[in-house]
Amino acid sequence: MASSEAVVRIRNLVKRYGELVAVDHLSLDIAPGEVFGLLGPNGSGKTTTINCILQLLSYDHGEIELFGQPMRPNSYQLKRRIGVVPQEVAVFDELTVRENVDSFCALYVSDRARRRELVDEAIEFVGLQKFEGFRPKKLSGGLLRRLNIACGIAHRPELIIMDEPTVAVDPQSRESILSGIERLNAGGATVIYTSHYMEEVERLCSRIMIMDHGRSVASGTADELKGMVGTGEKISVEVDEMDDATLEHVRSLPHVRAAEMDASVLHVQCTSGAHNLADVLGVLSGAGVSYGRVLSEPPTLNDVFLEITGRALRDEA
Amino acid sequence: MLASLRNSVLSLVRDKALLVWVLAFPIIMTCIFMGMFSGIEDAYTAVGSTLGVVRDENYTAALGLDETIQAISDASSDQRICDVTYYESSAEAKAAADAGEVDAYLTVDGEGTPQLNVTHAGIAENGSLPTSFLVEVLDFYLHARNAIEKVAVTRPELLATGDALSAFTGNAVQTVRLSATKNPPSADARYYYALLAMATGMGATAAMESVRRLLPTAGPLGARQTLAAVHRWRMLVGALLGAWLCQLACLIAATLFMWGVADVPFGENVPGVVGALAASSLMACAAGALCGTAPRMETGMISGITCLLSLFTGLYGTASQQLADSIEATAPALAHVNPLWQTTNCFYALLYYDTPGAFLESFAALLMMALVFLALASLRMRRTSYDHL
Amino acid sequence: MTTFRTYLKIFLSHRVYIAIYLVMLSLVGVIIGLSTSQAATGEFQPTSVNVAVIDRDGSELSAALASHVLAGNNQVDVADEKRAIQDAVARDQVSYLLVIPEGWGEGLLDAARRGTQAPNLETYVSYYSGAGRLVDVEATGYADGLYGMAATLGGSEADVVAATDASWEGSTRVSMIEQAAAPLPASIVTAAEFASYPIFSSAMVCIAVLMSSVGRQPVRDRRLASPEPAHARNLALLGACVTIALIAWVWNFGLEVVVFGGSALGSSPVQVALVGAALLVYALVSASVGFLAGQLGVSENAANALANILGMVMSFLGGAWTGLSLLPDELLAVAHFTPAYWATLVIDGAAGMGEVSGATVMPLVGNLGVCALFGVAAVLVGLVLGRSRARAQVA
Repeated sequence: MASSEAVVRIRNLVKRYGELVAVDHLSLDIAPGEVFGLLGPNGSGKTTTINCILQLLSYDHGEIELFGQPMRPNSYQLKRRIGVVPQEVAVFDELTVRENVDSFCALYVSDRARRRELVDEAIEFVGLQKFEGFRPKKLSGGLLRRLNIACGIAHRPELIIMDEPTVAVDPQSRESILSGIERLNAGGATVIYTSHYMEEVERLCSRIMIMDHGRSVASGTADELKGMVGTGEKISVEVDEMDDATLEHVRSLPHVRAAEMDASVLHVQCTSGAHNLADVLGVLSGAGVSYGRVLSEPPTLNDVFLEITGRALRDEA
Repeated sequence: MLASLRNSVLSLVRDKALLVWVLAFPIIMTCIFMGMFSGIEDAYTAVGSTLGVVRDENYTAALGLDETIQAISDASSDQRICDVTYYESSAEAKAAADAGEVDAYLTVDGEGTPQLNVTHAGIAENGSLPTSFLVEVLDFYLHARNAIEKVAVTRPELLATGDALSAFTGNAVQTVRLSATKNPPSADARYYYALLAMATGMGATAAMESVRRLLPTAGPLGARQTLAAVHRWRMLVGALLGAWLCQLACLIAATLFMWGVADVPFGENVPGVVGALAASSLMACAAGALCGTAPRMETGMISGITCLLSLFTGLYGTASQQLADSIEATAPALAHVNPLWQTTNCFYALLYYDTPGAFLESFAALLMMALVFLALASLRMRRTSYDHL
Repeated sequence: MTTFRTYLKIFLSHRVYIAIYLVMLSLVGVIIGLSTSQAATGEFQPTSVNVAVIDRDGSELSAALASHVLAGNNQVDVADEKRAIQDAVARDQVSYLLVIPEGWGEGLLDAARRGTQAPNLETYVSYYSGAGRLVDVEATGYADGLYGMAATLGGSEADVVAATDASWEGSTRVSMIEQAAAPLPASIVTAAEFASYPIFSSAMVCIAVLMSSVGRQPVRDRRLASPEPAHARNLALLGACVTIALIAWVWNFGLEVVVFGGSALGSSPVQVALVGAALLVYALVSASVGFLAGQLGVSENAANALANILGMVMSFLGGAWTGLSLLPDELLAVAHFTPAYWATLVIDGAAGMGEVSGATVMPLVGNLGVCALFGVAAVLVGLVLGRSRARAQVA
């Protein structure tokens, strides 16, 4: 992909807070029309990276280009093409839903008639028509999140940056938010999306980058990532009775990483291989073990994430 | 209950709002008052003015006038009430008055009658008292001269010996100042007491915050505390007790500062002063608790109400003291329902009266108010909890 | 423009602060102004003191002294009991309480005959106040007259009183210096000087609250990420601050003009304008202090406390409440560093202005300029601090 086509292009971004390196030589390219997922544990540098892109933070080293032009704190023409949905709900408590959307939209669009249309559309887009006259304090968590989104997208940005927009919302609101993002993307917007919910990322994102300790530790499509870590399917087999020798046999199979008996279910964790299920079932048949229900789960992004970033608890620094 | 008390004390101390209002605020204002009142004790500085004197023939011809003027402008004397500048003509003096160099100027007519010409600026700046003083001194001069002339008609020999003059101006009659009150009245005590009362009122915000934290309607923290396995009244009493203790401690510290640093008189009855502080802060906490049950109440409202009530304790300078006095004279009941007035009155009573009656009245009034506020607050608190559950 | 409107909407939504600091406190100023004596300003009104006399003597001399002391002052009746005297003095109901002891008249005549000191009069004063001192001079002066007459002309008590009263006729003539300009009524001056407090606290608290709302981190970030240029944002904020100051000014000054200034507006328009200008400049200075507090990121509670405490300190130090003449020299030196002092100078100067001319008005305009400089300084410090804070957050 040629760099001039990239909506976002970052080269060697370094951001330090004193001793702590928050972003460590990060480079990335995001193509037009992509939904780019930024994953990583708490404190891995996702929000810092976004704030650097938006020039809310100064950085120590690196280049950031948006739409082929270098991004600066006063690049107002570039900022006009960006929409931001910050992690925290960023609205005025004193203004109503409509006034809020309008006042943020006004920072981008000065024509009033045009703005009225845009505000109408944005409110309709997030489904807050019934709450136009409400103050934020009267809104529930999900509605508040939707207002937060409306404030960021009303001016129809080409690049939308969403920092965990679905935190603490109910499944209905989440579904509405996710489908909204899909519609925005279908309308041509490029989206940068961070989240802790792997299934959201897997569903939305055309490309994913996993960050840890300020570095990009893996990137690619969801499938590429799954392939990368070598995690294969999880196989569960209900068995009547099985001796230890058979279990050992299963464990010794080439693509089997671990096998455990739990009550009458055999759990096998595989690395990626061509015919793992057949191999396992073959061993069982060979040993004369009769089995019932067989379940083979393909690897999830969650497995990949934990595999790459480790299982130790974060936020402990 | 102890845990709730501890919790309330800790959060009030860490929040600092209470410390600012009930400790820092009175201490800062005490420093300002100290500076302001450092000169007020001396009665004559309060009446000082600048006087122009037209020293023409009439003036020098007026018997004894110049001596009188010199006596009241003598810088080394404690009788000094003005600084004098001499002018040769009344035109010069008028020019000086117009230019604001003197507050008034003195001319003498052909009959020797002094005339004082007063500028509006002087009155606007210093009030009429300094001029009244000059008038009084000149009147006495005039009257004494009349009297001596009258005496001279019938007994000229007394004039010759000077006995007549000394009879009238020998200060043969003196006044002695007695003290009716236990301690001598102090003009600034009023400001300090009003200041303490305002700090007390502001302290209500602390109780309001403490109580509000415990209300289920106030948000997740309140709801969580409501679900605790402790009786609600225990938590509320603990929280209020904590707010009260904090406020009392701050007030005692502020009072000690006033007494120790600013020499504000509080009388000798130390338990009485502590009692007054305790009753006032209890009243404020109860009022705060009541405000805490009103969902739309904000801290800004409490400070606003306290500002208003402080007007009637005379905190905002001379004009507000006159207003407070006239309200107390015409509608005493209106003055007495003001809890801050009762607070200041406690201190007054302790300072001035040798019988405890007046103090006990105000003390009881404060306790009554506290009880009423608490009763209303507990009624409302039960309501809020039922509403919620 | 939309940003400016957003700011105004936010300001208007904080109705509690507007109601308390703007409306209620300014009404307090009006009440105080109304309670100020509405003396006709053309003539000199001597200070009238609350006085009580307890005559235990009952002689003709004592009666004459009592009526002389009471004439021209406000007579307050106080019973001859300890508690009543305590009440009167402690509550400042009387500034001067004269007790004429039993046998005083006799004693005075005796002493006059023998040429010795007369018996003392007893007084209770509420404070060592100038007012009490004034009556003391009056009382002893007249008593000296009685003594002098008794010592020289002698005769019965009635003779002495008659002779003294005859001499005590006539008084110093007092006239107000004719001035080209009509002075302002005391009520509007008092109210205007009190207004320094509501103006300062309302402007400051509203602006600080507005800025804390606008400056909350997530909202701030969102705005920084928008294409709105920094200068447009600052301009809108400045506009909002000025508007809030103007609202505070229009409300306070308008109220004073409406309640007290009807006649003054016609007779001394320049002076009223100067008072208005002083309050306007002070309102703008208050707004800039609010701006500074907002730039410092002061929380709503802290802004509330600051507005009150700073407002009171300024009004006291500026002499708006107790008069500049009462301030000792050291404090007066400190007062020069408060904008309220300069505003009060202008109001006092306008109130007693002898004539309206360049020579009298210009110095006051100069004082206004000094007052305005405080505002400029606060804005500049606010801008610099705001910038370095923004940088500190970015870094």
